[in-house]
Parts: sequence; C-alpha cells; structure tokens
Amino acid sequence: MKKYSAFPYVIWTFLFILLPLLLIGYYSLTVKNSQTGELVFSLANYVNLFNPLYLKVFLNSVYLAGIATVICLILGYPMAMIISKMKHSQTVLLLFILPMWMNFLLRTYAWMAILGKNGFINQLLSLFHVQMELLYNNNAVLLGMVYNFLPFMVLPIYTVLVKMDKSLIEAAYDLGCTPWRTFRKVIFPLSLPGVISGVTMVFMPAVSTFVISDLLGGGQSVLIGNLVQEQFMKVNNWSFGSAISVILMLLILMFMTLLHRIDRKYEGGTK
Amino acid sequence: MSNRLIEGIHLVKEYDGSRVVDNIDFWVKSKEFLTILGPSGCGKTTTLRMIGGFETPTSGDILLSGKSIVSLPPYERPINTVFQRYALFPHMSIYDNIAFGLHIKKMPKSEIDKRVSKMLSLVNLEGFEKRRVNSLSGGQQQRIAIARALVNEPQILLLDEPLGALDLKLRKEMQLELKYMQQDLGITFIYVTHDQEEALTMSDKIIIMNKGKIQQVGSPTDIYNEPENAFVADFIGESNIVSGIFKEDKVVEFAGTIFPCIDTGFARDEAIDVVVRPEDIEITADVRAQLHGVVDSTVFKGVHYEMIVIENEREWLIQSTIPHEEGKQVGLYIAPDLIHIMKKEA
Ligand SMILES: Nc1ncnc2c1ncn2[C@@H]1O[C@H](COP(=O)(O)OP(=O)(O)OP(=O)(O)O)[C@@H](O)[C@H]1O
Ligand SMILES: [Mg+2]
Repeated sequence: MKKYSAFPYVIWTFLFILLPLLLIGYYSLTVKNSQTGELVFSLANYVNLFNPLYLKVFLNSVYLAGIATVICLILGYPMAMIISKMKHSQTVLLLFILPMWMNFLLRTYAWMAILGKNGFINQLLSLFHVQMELLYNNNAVLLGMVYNFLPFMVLPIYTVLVKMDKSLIEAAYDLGCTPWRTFRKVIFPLSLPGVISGVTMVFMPAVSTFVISDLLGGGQSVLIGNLVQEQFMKVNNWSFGSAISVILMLLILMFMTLLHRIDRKYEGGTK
Repeated sequence: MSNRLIEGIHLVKEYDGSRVVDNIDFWVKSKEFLTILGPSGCGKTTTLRMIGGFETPTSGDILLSGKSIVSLPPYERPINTVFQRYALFPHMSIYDNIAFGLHIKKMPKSEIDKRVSKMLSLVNLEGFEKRRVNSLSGGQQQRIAIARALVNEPQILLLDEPLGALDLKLRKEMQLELKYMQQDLGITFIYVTHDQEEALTMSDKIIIMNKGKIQQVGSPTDIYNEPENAFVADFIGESNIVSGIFKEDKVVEFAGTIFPCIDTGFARDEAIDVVVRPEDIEITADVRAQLHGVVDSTVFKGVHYEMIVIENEREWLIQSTIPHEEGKQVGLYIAPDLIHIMKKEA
C-alpha cells in the first residue's frame, strides 16, 4: 500500500516540475526556422549569450542580488538578534512581517510614489529648491530588493536564535569568553543554518526578479529576469528565453552548492 | 576567616517580588567538597548561578578570598561550571570542546594538547579527541563536560546535578570518580543535588535548604545523626518523627511514655519533635521494652527487613536483620543516645 501512496506526488512532480524543465531544455536547444516555423536543433541560443551585452546583464544581476543579500544580512542579523531577545518577540516579529501580507506589486508601486519625480521625497526637497533623480537606477533597484526581501533574511535567523540552547551561551561565558567572543565562537557558528537559508531565500528571488527592476529600474537597470520576460512576452523568442532560464538555474544551483559546502565545513568542527 | 575560600553573606534573590533565595550565609574552605541539598524548587540552582555569575543577587555579597565578586561577569571569575544538561558545543569536536577555555586564554598549542589528553585520560576517554559531541552517550558527554571545566584548573568547580540524567549504576560509579578527581586535583567543589544519598557519600560539608532558607549546615555524619529539625530528619532519610514534651534535662515524654535521653538545653515542658531512625529501634521481648505493639508488615529489603509495628494507632518504621512475623506482639526499646530531640518548626 505504502508504495502506491506516493503515486500522486510522482504524477505531480512529473507534470509540473519535470515536464516543464524538459520543455525548457528542449526549447533552449532549438531555433525556429524562419521560413517553415519548424524547431530545429541548434546551440545558437547559448552562443548568443556570450554577447557582451548579455554578459553585462548577468554580471549586473549577480552583483545587485549579491549586494542586496549582503545588506539584508548586515541589517537582518542584528535585527533578528534584537527581536529574539525581546519579551514579546512574537508580536514584534508579526509587526515586522505585516507589510509582507500586502501585495508585492503594491509595495513596489509605493516606492515609486516615494522616490518619483513628483514623489514624496522630491516634494520635500523642493522646499529647498533641490531636485534629485532617485528612480530608475541601480540604487533604486537595490532599495527595492532589500525592502522586499529583508524579512526572508530575518525570519530564519530569528528562528535559530530563539531556539538556541541558552546554556551553550552561558558555557562560553563560563569558559572565559567576553560577549563579543561568545558571539564569534558560539552564537554565530550555531546560527549559520539560519544565515544560509536566509541568504538563499534573499539571493534567489533577487537574482531572478524582473518586477523590481522593471518598476524601479526603468530601462536603466536591466536584470536577467527582464531578459527572460522580454524574450517570452515581447520578442516571442521562447528558445532564447529558455536558454537564459537554464543558465539562471545553473547559476542558482552553483550558488546553493557553495553555501552547502560552507554549512558542512562548520558542522565538521572548527578549523 | 582566612581559610574561607568563598563566602556568601546575607544572599537574597527575588524574582518578581517572591524570594527564591532567602538571606542565606555560607562559606567553603579551600579543597572542600560542599553539597547544597534540598527538594526541587528550593533555590539550589539559583544559589549556584549567583556564585557562577549568571544571576545577580538582589542583595547580599559573595566574597572570593575575602574580595567581593558580585560585580564580576562570569568570564572574569576563576570559577567553572558543569551544567545540568552538559551544554557541550555541538559544532566542535571533543578536542575543541575541552580546549575551548585554554584556547580563549591563548595558551600555546603544545601545552593545550598536553592538557587535553591528560584530561581525557583522567575521565577515561582516551582517544576521543576527534569524535563529535552527538556521537557520545550521556555518560560520556557528562565526562567531557567535567573535563572541559576541570582543564581550566578553576579555584572552584560548580556542579548542578551533574549525574541527574544517568542511570543508577553509572551514577554510583561517577560519584566515586568525581570524589576521587576532586581529592586528586585539590579543587573546591560546590555540588548541587536533591539526592540525599549522593550528598552523604560525596561531601565534606552539606548545606540543607528548603524554600530558599538554609535548614542545617554540617558534615554528613552530623546531619545524619543530629538533624536540627524535622524537615532535615525527614529529608535525609526515612525517620520516625513524633511530637513530644521535653520534661527536664535528659528526660523526654512521647507516645505516652517517659524516656531517658541525652539531650539538654530545652525549656521544661517545651513541645518538641522527636526523631528516631528506623535502624535505632530494637525489637525485644524482655523487660527493657518501653512500647508495645503488633507487627503489621515485614518486607525483606536485601540487607535488612523493614517492619511496621503499630502501637496505639501510631506506626513505627523499624529496620532489623531479624524478621518478626506479622501479627506478633512485640516490645520496642530505644537507647537514650538514639533519641534525637529537635525544636518544633514554627
Ligand atoms: N528566571 C526566573 N524567573 C522567575 N522565577 C524563577 C527563575 N529561576 C528560578 N525561578 C524560581 O525560583 C525557584 C527556585 O528555583 P531553582 O532553579 O533555584 O530551584 P532548584 O532548587 O534548583 O530546583 P530543582 O531541584 O528542581 O532544580 C523556583 O520556584 C523557580 O520557579
Ligand atoms: Mg536546579
């Protein structure tokens, strides 16, 4: 009986995960014959990607997502730590996550309203006869990423911190550690699983987003996600779009393997 | 004064206004094995945590070699702790766990290596350096926790029910090993337990606590033979405790009978408690018998028989190597020096 109970999941996995992946792989390895409209095998899509224009977009995406992840970590770790030490930490955490219940698009539009030419900040600045171009650049995209994905960093770190055995921290004090050394030698290493899932959960959506770069970056800050969207929705070149997606997937896979390595290294004792 | 290594003075700890440790005074000599004994919730852990620096006393002072240490954080006290649930670092190997304190003190690597392997052989776990914490049994983790604390050669080692999670046989073994280590290394131990037998076998000095207050301080024999009140007598072992009246020096009345005793110093006709240990009551048929009753039950306990004798609706618990069958009429005799008289608790 047990054998068959997994059956629905097998179908699900095949229909909604494996099949689309295979299709993307198939499309990425074909080009459309312009006369007949037939799909023929070709590596042209992948070769095309080496165009410096696209390489720049890839680099820009990884760079922005990387910076956003680092900023989220720097902001999120202390935040998670402070919240975990509060008396009513559950409530504070809820307040913190509350904006996430609002629609993602809406939140990003709100930033447009704040940063735009006639937006809130520029209206304030106009009192001093200053005008600033805040929207449609990499910084605006970064801000959007950090704002939208910060909770994904805070949550997993908060979870490991509140669950941490307090007697381990006391043991470190007992053995002569100052608070800072206790953090470095015990608290931080033990919270690494939370940091790693936080980093993953921020980096992945950040590197593949197209909404944030579309709305806050305008045409000025183009990311991989925008390329994919463009190929599928505007240019109607599914083959090239699929090739970009495959590369993006490989990129994320590499990133996760790397993180996994770090995690394993710390598990195996110090040094 | 000078031989007091650590001393607690009028120590009080309150949580939200309720007194958990209520004005206790104690001191420990260097190289002494002190046990804090008491029922669950009496404030033992809280007292130990104040000595270790993990709790700040609400009032009172703690002196180490005559100098106050209450304002020092734990990492500046020459004191180490063996935590109740071991608290070994799961992300480090056994070697790194034991070396942790020495590493923090920036001791050279060769010296650390030497000390760690010496400690591992002391706790009978040679060759465990590279093992992971969660691959060890409870008893082994306990030994590592002890090694991790002892390797720092603290002036005082605090132990909070370190053997609580072990099974009886292992616990007995570890009791002996701990006592041996303490004497061998010449380190002062402050040991918390609620197991009276453990306290009696290991300690040089016992503090008995109840509801945040010290009930009695003394050597194991003092406490066993001369309990100061009914709580101590009851807690330290099975006892017969009955109310009585102190007639005059060396004469006491209880169970409707006048007994000779050896106690003095109570007021004439003062109401007191009388404690008699089960092994101190003699069953006899001769004229010495002071009380008369009927054997209600006899149970073999391995080394001795445990009998309950009913006398005027009072139950007397008696231990003896000679059994008496149930229903038999017997006489009871208690020697004067085995009658312990204690003040009635307020
Ligand atoms: N942080 C705290 N806040 C409030 N009350 C506390 C705190 N720590 C301990 N208490 C209370 O103080 C009392 C004594 O606690 P303590 O841990 O010292 O007891 P104990 O003698 O070690 O008991 P056990 O044998 O069960 O470990 C208990 O009633 C406990 O509920
Ligand atoms: Mg306790």
